[in-house]
Amino acid sequence: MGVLGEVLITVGVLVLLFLVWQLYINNAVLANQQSGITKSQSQAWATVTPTPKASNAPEQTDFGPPPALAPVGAGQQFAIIYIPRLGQDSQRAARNGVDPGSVLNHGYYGHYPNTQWPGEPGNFALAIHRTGWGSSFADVPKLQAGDKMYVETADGYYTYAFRNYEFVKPTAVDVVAPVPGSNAAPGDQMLMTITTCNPLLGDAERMISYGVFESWRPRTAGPPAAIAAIVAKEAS
Amino acid sequence: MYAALWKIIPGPLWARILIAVAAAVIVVALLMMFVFPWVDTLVTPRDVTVQ
Repeated sequence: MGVLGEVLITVGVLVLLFLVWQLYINNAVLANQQSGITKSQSQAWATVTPTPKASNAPEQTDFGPPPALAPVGAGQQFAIIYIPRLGQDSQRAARNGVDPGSVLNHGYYGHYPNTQWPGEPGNFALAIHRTGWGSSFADVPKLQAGDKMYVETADGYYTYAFRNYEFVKPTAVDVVAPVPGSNAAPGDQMLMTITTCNPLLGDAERMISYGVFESWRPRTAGPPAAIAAIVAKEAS
Repeated sequence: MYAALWKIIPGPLWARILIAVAAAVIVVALLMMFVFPWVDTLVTPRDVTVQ
């Protein structure tokens, strides 16, 4: 009986150790990997020097309609997403696909393959882990209406403004429809939708965050002021 | 089980404590570096997608 008790205690300790590894150690390791990934991506894109504007020229903010991002293949990296409200080191790279093993479990945003791309009318839909796996999304309930979400691609910066949350069942696939919750055609409306799990540390529901496209800046105009410092640090 | 392991460790008390602690650290490190990453691929992650 003594041996059986020791074996049971050992198994319990192993399970606790696994949880510590998964929630803290692996999370920190993957978050660190993500910061390396976004940094090398920023450096790869930093080949275009922003055109300096004349010192007395007004700051240009309207660069016209955004170009549609050319679709990339499965698993390909295509963007870095910055949400300053979630922290100065919350940027993560985005890849095409929502496969847990190759995309989501490495801390990436995963793009739902059948949804639209930035600059394309409709819904640019992403998924990301809420906690663990290097995710920076645990603080997502801190988002306030109007908070900016920036999508940096090879071409430039798409700015979205956070609109609202929705809590849905895991089967609610209409949240990633071109017009969420509807069969309507999107017209020229461009949304960004991020799905994550809810509640924290559980997955009985999905927490959906919607953003509305606001503006576009080509890479030659430099990054939006709110993330200029982060981008400069990343690209150095 | 642990009593038997303790008897196997040679040396004076301080050396046995040192060896036991070192062995525990090595076991935990091996678990975290090799075993847990493998277990993580087997357990279903919390699902974040709608489908």
